[in-house]
Amino acid sequence: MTAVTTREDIVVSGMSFATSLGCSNRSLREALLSGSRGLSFEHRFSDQLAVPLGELPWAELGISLGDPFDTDRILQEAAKILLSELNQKTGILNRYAKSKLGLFVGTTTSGIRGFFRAAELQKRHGSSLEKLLEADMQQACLASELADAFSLLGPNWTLSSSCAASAQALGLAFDSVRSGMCEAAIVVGADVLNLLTIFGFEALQVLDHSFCEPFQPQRRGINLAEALVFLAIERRPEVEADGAVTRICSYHALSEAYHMTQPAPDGRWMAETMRGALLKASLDPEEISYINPHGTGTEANDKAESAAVSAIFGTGRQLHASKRLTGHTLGAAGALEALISCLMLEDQAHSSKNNFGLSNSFGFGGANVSFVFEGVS
Amino acid sequence: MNSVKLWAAQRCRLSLDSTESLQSLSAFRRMTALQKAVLLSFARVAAAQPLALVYAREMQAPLYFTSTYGELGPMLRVTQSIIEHDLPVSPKDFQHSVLNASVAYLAMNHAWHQAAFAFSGGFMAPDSTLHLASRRIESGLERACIVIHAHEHQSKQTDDAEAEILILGSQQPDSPYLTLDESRWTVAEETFAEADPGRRIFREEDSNASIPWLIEDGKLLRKRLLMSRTRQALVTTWIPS
Repeated sequence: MTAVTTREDIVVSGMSFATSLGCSNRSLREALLSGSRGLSFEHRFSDQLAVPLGELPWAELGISLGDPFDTDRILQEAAKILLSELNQKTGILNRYAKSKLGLFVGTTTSGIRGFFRAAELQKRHGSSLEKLLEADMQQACLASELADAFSLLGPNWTLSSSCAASAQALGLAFDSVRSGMCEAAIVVGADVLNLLTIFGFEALQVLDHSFCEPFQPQRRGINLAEALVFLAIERRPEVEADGAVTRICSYHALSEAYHMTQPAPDGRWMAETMRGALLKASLDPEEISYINPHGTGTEANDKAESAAVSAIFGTGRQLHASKRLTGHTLGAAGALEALISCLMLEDQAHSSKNNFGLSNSFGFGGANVSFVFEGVS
Repeated sequence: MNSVKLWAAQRCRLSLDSTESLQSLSAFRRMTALQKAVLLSFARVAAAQPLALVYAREMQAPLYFTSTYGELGPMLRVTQSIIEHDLPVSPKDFQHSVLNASVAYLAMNHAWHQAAFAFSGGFMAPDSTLHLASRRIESGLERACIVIHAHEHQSKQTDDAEAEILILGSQQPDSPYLTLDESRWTVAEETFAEADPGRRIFREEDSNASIPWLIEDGKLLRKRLLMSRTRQALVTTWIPS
């Protein structure tokens, strides 16, 4: 990728979110630092499968749950609440012309309700699927809903590259703002629990039926969870921050081109992704003080990622594998782990000289993304 | 600002085209119709416009894949399986249901290690992806991009899918013949209509789930307007060089 001309700082100027560990900076930070899990065996799918899942605090959001297939309504209601909250915190919808504000959504199963409806109709009436295709059967329906509800006239794109979806969305948003394609951007990572992903990952035999243990010898797989994350991305001069903010230094994305669901076992492409991000940030590995790995808890991912991290950073580096606490939020994971990296780096911004962090997202199909962030006061 | 040139364009329908040349590809027999259509279109580009592909590889072109409805077959089978409590669902169908499965197989089979992005753009999918690719080339973020748009037809035939591939770049490698001139997100339909009588308008509300292909009868439409149900609009104009 060639360099764009601007060298201005691009920062995460604000965030709003809902996770299984809470919906405020304080609750999420406290849970992360104390090691509290947002995972439980008691959830709305417990009569379907007895595995730990990480649910959003729907009641706290004021959203009533319907049947297990009623996913898109609750996702869209929560998304509207969180975008309003982001605007209250940052004023991003009011400070920019709405045609200059980009929307970048990362999700895997937004629109799944439409598919279940079509499948049900086809089963009942035997209609051809071609006649049942509707606009709500697309991951992009969340972006359309938000653009419509908030009169967003700027460009919007929905990334759905498996578990790297919102990491790719953040990367493209970062590029768009630094290159001037957009004046500012809103990044969304959004996935709610649904029967497709629960039964799909169960069929792949990668669900841990107890609490997941990323990077531990006894690891057996992932715990699924849901999250909605909104990040405001702006040029630093436009931001009036009271405290620390996080600068996006660089990102690097590549395709492993190795296997549909497995990384190369020696982690060579994961290492290449991290190396690319460090190179673009002009940083040496020893300047990175915080690493948030992809760390799913599966045998294959953690083995390959351990090898990759060791190859770049040497052995003995501490990894903050936050999926152990939040669960794996699939398409939302990249944005959630960027947010967690922001919180951790902003905490150290006043006390640490080298305050750079790295966050990894590796999705099905070999969709790899690594970010380098800096917490600045 | 860099100008954006079209280096290559191909559209293929799997059910009408022989796949003999693809039989030797890794995992070909496991692939869905959509995945096969993408690989077939890529093979056609390699055969018909090989230099474009060579330049794209040299310029480290990322892959931008998009589809309005994605992997319909696997998605439908998995969702039906769940509705009917026919569990476990097929692991193969589940891993093939992700939107980036096609582009992942393409990357695997051609050792394409540049980033592969999968976009869900709904009705606007082909033009919104083209728009992003062209803007990234214009601003110098990329030197070339490969845009892939695919759709699985739900006909009675098995393996009925279609894909189109456009290779865009900032430099003129051989004999580029078109330039992507303009693309925007807000436009008044009336203004567009007045501006050019040679245009074509695609409206989602009139589309009855038909797909607004970028290439029709082997050619790119010179000027087109896509309008979604929520009144998002995109204009794409190609100017012969």
